[in-house]
Amino acid sequence: MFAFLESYFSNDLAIDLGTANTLIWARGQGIVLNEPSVVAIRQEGGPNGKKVIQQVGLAAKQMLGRTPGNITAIRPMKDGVIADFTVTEQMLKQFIRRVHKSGIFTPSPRIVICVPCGSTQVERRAIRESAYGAGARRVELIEEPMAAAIGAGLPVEEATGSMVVDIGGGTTEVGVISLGGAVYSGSVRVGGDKFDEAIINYIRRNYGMLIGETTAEHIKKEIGSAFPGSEVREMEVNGRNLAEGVPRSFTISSNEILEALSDPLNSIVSAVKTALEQTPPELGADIASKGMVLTGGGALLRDIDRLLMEETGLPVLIADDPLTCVVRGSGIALDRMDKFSSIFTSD
Amino acid sequence: MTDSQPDGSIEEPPFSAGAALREARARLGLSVADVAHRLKFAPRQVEALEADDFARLPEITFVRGFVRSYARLLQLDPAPLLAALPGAPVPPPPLAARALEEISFSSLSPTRKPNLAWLIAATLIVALAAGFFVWMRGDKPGAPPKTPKAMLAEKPPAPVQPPASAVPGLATVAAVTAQLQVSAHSAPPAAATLPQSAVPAAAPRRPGTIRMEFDEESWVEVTDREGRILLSQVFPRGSEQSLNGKPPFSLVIGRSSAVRLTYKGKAVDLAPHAKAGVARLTLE
Repeated sequence: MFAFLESYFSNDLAIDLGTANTLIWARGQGIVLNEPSVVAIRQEGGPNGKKVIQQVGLAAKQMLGRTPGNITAIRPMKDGVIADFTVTEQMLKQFIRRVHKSGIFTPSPRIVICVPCGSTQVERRAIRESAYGAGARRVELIEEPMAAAIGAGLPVEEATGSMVVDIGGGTTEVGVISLGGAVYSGSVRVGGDKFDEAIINYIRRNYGMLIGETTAEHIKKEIGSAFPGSEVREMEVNGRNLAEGVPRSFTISSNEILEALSDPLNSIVSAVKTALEQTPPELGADIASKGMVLTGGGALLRDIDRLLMEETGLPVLIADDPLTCVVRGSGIALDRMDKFSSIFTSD
Repeated sequence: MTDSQPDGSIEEPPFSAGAALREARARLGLSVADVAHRLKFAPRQVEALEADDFARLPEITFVRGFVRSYARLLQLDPAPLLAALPGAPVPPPPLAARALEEISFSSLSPTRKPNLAWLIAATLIVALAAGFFVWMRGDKPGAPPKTPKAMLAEKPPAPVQPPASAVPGLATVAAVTAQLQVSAHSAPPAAATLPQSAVPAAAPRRPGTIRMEFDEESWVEVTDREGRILLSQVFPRGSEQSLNGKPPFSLVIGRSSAVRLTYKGKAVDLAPHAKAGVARLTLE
């Protein structure tokens, strides 16, 4: 009876706690929050003073690399898992507070939160604990490939193989799903962040210029591509010349970015090929006729589907609204939590 | 041209994604086999899509991705083609922006939100306190004089803010918890052994630094330099009270118009300090 009352008053939440963005889905409302996973912390009154959260989300992301001495902008998630436990907990608390009104008669929310399938037990425990610390009443974990597949609308419960490749900020998750369970799931710690890093390194090596993460991300979104296309695009970039020590501008083309991204893209292609090798032949045949589905922010990289198509010889499709697939899938799992409990991980 | 509507507009056949793709492919001079080769779908699937025969195609999720890839290959805008497919997803509502509250971040240990158990515990404590209050109130009429020890034990929990005015109905309540504390050298010998000497209101009065005379029933609270309550009591009409302590003293006097106050032998006018009949002042 109390459980019924609690679920009546409480807003259950599904959270995609991603390396780049955190999304929250509330029962009956859909996606209620989509913010970068960045926290800006202000140190008050000397080195031993108390730390206060200055900004969280988009406002904090704009501070990245532009902060004075007493403010630090932190990305508390790295490679899909928690790098700074306390800051992650506070960030989650802030985000939950924005979307979940707390009151005397409002119990704490039940939370479904996704974890990379390659995360260790310790990393999963940290995510679970941070959600409890942020005010959850009950926490269920769901593996990202499963959430992405549900969110992309794949027939996960049917006796047919569905393959999903979720390219996130920190990790790339590959899953082959049939009859509501993962037949194969793999994870490589390559994602959007590694793309940015590769662009920074390429520009430093070839141009002798230093650029920040935000600029690298901007270049990736503007002219980044994963497959040589007919159209070559160029972009003017500002950075600091390492030899002269002063800011300079230079022009970079999409073909150079393609060259810069070749290493992380090869890792993703290898992970997909490994998954196909490990997939039973019947399910492989299903995937060959229907194709694999790309989700996550990495799916927005130009021609990444073309690259995977050429490398694997299979149809590759991009899901509708790939950035929100994981959180939508977690939300659907939350709605069906009572009868669909087997998809949650027990670690 | 043949089907003219009454308002003059021409009825167009319903927009079909398959037909639009077929036309665009023919315009570019591509064959079905070319498209199948580029998109890695089977030629039969390309033909099924162009014929809008969804029964021969996989689930609609895959068809939407297929149309998107095909449209890009033909350099078409995929949005109208996707909208023409069955089962188009509803666009999500815009996110509601909420103000960010600033919270303290000094604690390094993970904190848990107080749950229902804490709420129940707090309610029980409040109920117990209310019960104790009612019991004490019923104890008042005809109660025997309290010993100094007993009076010390029932010190009010947080007597920082006294009642705003000396309402007669509250006076009896206040009298129950009232106590008198004076400095050690002015205490009678019987109470001298206590750590903080206290004498009841009925103890023999001696001339002190502060002296008050009451023309009407009134309520007084006096605290000393360290915030200790020296006096918190209702005085009947015609009584008087003296006390000593460490200045400065903070005084709150209910019905101040009926109280005459002298400090170090000088009369103090309460009228400038009075507000709604209650005087609040500090004596240096």
